[in-house]
Amino acid sequence: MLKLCKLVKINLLSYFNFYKIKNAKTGVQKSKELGKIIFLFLFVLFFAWYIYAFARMTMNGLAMLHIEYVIIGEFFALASLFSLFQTIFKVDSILFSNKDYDMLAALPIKKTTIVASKMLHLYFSNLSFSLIIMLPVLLVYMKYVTVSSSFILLYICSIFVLPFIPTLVAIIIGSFISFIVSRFKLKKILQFLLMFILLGGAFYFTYSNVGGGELEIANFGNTLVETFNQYYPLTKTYMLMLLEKDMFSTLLFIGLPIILYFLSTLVISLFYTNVVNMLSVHETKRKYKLKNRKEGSILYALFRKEFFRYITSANYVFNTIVGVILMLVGSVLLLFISPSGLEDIIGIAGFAEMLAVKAPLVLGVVLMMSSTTSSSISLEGKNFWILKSLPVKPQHVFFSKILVNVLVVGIPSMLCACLISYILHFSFIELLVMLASVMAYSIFIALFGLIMNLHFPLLEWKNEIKVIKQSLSTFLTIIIGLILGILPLTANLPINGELFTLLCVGSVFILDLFLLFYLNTIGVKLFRKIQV
Amino acid sequence: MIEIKNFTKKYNKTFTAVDDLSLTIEDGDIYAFIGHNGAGKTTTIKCMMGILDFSEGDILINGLSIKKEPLLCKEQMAYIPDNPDLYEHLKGIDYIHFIADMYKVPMEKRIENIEKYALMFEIKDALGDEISSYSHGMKQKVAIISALVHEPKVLILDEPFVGLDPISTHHLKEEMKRLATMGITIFFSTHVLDVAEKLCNKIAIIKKGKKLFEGNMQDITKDKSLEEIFVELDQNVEVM
Repeated sequence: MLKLCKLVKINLLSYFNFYKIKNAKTGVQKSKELGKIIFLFLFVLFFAWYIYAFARMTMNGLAMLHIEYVIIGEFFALASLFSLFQTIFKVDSILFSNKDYDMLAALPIKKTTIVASKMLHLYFSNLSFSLIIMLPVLLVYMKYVTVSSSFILLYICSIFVLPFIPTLVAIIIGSFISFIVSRFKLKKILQFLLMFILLGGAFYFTYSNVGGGELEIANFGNTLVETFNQYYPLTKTYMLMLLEKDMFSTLLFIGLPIILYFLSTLVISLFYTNVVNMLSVHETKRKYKLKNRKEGSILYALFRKEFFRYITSANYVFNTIVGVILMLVGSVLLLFISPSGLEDIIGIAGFAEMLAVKAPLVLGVVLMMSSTTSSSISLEGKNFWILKSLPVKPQHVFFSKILVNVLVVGIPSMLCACLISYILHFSFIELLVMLASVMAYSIFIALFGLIMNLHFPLLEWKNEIKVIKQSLSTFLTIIIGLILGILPLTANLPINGELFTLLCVGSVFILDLFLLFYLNTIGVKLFRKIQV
Repeated sequence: MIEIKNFTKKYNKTFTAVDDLSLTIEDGDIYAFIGHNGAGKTTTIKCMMGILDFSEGDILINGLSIKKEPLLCKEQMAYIPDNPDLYEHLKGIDYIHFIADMYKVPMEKRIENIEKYALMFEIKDALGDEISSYSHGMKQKVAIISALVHEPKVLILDEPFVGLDPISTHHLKEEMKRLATMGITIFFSTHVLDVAEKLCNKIAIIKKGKKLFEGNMQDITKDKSLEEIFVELDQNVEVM
């Protein structure tokens, strides 16, 4: 048990970088690390506030229908789904990672202890999200319904039990995906396809039910709970435990997940070594041709390296291309349904009108979610010495990274812009404005993301997910980008809509020039300062 | 030629990793840079390569300052690190071509050198595989080939023999001797004092960031082995 506790402690300290504060030698370093922790804490508060606001809106609708209790089941379902989808793609990098397995397997530690430590790692990372989601909901529920102290106690205990089953299901699905992928030559393509199928399923499930107003959201919540109950009967057990204080349900809800988790650890331990080894097997002795190759320029070589880095990481592609996918799906949907039909699906009131008048700016918002550059410096990781030792200008490195972003995001977006313009019968000038908007926004988010990453690089990481999804530079890029994208859409100025759009697109181009200048001056200095 | 002039490297303005180091490495030298773990060898090498910056002193590569003209310096240099962290998503051959593109090596020359060194280090068959599938030694070999493919004037190696099999170690030593006879400047750090004694014509010993000794290998190893001298110097410093 002691070894298990020590392993879990090391994993969590390393994952959250808490050891950096402890090991910081100077006051400046300590302040920097503390600053990051404070920032993370503020982000958690922001997310919790967002959940609180959404729960309030839901509760208003449920109160109208006199079914306030549904909120408990609804957010239980949402937290479970969040844990599930969060964990699926972490399974092979955390549970079946071979990076530390060699070292651990050589130590006098039982295999079950190693497996248990990794499964607890996954559990604790989901527990943190469950706490952030479920605690604000309790506060909202208590505002509308008088609850006993035993309810509060049971509710809080249930949060600690909630992540077990979804994590377990995610491990099974994630293991299945890893197993299938490892059998095929075109592993990466298969991994992408499976990820997109899962994401598509999640989107379909969400958007086939959700609407825009409080009543619609309340109805969605009710539907979600009923549907979830069919596939996850513990939802009903959970509600019986809290609302009816049923003893059998309480024992079942608390006992069953823990027992299942424990048993799964034993089962996984039986074939753990085989799975880790199988996932690390590579095909070798592949043929190659030395002579069939042209010399490339420095920029082309850097771009090629960067592009291959991008497409060989399912996590990198998946987490940066969401905006483009949304845009593509939306554009294709417009071929079959009207803009007001699309408005009903996505549940944003006034969307149809916004699209007609401010389509270039709507595209801009979507593009702001698609930055490959915000983690591109960090992803160099321990390879960063290569770029630093080569006779290449930092500007060439920057440009190659920006080019990947513009290519991966800009070109599909241009196609969407053409499609939307055709469907909405835009004039030639309006089409040009659409294309200009795509160019301006895709260049902006590429430049801005890179600048953020130069300011906040994170070269020491074990799992690239941490850099791609959970780094400060990625977070700031998306948040600031979205704010800048949404602001013009929400502004209500006494000015012609088309002129306003033109002014906004023009302003983004000016911002692009400023960012380019910043990158060429301060960006270069930041690049040179990064220590390896 | 490499000139290190009063070079000092501090981390966070408090910890001095290398203190006032001055060395001169002439064309055709095979120069051994020896010291304990954490003595400052890798820090010195990384600053020479422009990977780390430094505020005090200067490092000149064939008369050019690494601080003021980093690109011109790097065009003449090649570096083989102690830990060959290469781009794992690339195949070995793709990585070598990537480096060759950075140095604008003409295709004919490139192919000639890749074939020569791939055969020499017995890695030709594996170059079509992804670097992620390589062992440490194989990565080291790819790093060596990519350093030599562009025929540098200055070769900097950080513990190059770690992880190499005996045959490859032999070939690397022979290649280093051949390059030195052509006037290439070779500077490398190592813990293997035996190899340094047989291979190098000059040596510097560093401890806790300070130079303990610098001189010709032939002169200092007349009566004692390099290991004996190293231990003696180390003990004398401790006594002092």
